[in-house]
Amino acid sequence: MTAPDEQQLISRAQAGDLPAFNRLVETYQHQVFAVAMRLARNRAAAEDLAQDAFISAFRNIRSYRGGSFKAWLVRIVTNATYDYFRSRERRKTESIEANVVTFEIRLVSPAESPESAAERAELGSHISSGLDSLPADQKLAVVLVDVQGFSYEEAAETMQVSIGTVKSRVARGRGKLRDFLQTRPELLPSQFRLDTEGEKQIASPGRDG
Amino acid sequence: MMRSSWKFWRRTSIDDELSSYVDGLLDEARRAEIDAELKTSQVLRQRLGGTRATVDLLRSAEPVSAPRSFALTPEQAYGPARPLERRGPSPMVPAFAAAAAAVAVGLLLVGNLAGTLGQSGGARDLMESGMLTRQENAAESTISSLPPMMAATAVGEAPAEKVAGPESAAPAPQGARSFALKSAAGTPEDPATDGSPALLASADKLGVGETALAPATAPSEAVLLPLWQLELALALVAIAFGSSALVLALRRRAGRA
Repeated sequence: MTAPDEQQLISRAQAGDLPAFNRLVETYQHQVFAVAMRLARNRAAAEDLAQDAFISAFRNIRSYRGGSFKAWLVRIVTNATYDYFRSRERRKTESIEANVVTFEIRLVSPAESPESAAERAELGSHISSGLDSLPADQKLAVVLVDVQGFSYEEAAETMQVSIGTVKSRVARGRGKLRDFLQTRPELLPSQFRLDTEGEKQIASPGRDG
Repeated sequence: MMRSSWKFWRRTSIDDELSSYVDGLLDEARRAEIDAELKTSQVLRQRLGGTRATVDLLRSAEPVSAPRSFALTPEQAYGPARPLERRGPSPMVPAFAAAAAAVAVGLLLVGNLAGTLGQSGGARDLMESGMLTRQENAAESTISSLPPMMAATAVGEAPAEKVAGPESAAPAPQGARSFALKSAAGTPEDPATDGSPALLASADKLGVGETALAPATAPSEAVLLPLWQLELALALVAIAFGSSALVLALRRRAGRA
């Protein structure tokens, strides 16, 4: 969809045109659902969150004041996801482990051995745990930029912070995730296998300087 | 030979630099510096390799597709209840409550202030019509602010219980009302007055009679003015704070959609 087409659809949706809004939904629903699922890690909850976010977006579309429409929609679903976590925290009745979706690494070879598939799944689960261990703002920045492929500008607009702040959150999130992944070195590609002597040296950079 | 000097890294954190390096966001000069460092530092190479591998892993995630269409039906679009609102109280509720409370406090203070000024205005009308001298007005203001027993003593009524002490032991043939009149007439020797005898005498000489120099009026006005000013200031602050908080909360809510 070209930008003028999108703008026209937005204007029509702001005038109450539901079919026009639904064309926008069709365009962005995959990204909105994906962000909800990466954050909530629960397929059923992510479906509810995405649906509710689109309903909320339609009812509040007059408050959209330009900029990236995708960023605006993703911001709504992100806020909805945080509300969902808060309410779940309050109720404490829902099983957190139920329907949990882990990070799935793309299949490289169609002729993958069962062992390799199991290792890939385990690594995916390890990455999910690593992402969950990050502070919420760093996790969102990493999910948007590295997993969903948002530009830094789009991520900044979604998170309503400066580009520099997004870069910093992404860098710190990547660094923490890298360190987390190294707790299971046997699952990792060869680039990860740092020797312990080297780690000691980087911990005190002034020593050899 | 490792060259990982403190000077090399102190400008920013290692992770910030390596992340920007991986994204190709460094300027040429800084990139060249890091390239030179990479040639000599195995630790830096490993750290960069780890960062790059982390990013590659994240980018290798299986794409997620929506399992169904999320296009809205008319019922969803125009239905009565918003599903997001059914999940429990919004986190904005405390913000709205605080803002509303601040506005309410401000309005209460304004109401109270209006009442106070209205009362004093009414007394002023009476005074101007000659039914009440300024001294009487002042004495009444003073009495009304006293506890009931002290007030009763002040107007010459017998207190329910006699309070021991030099003041209560002394006869009180005339109450505060008559004391105020005496003051106006200029009886400086009256020990009950705390005004200056010389001042009252000079007032008499000048024929001022019921003047603002009478001692009972000064303290009550001095108290009244700062009180209403303070109340007004508090009310304005509360209303300003509450309104700002409400506007911010509404803007935040619009941003959250």
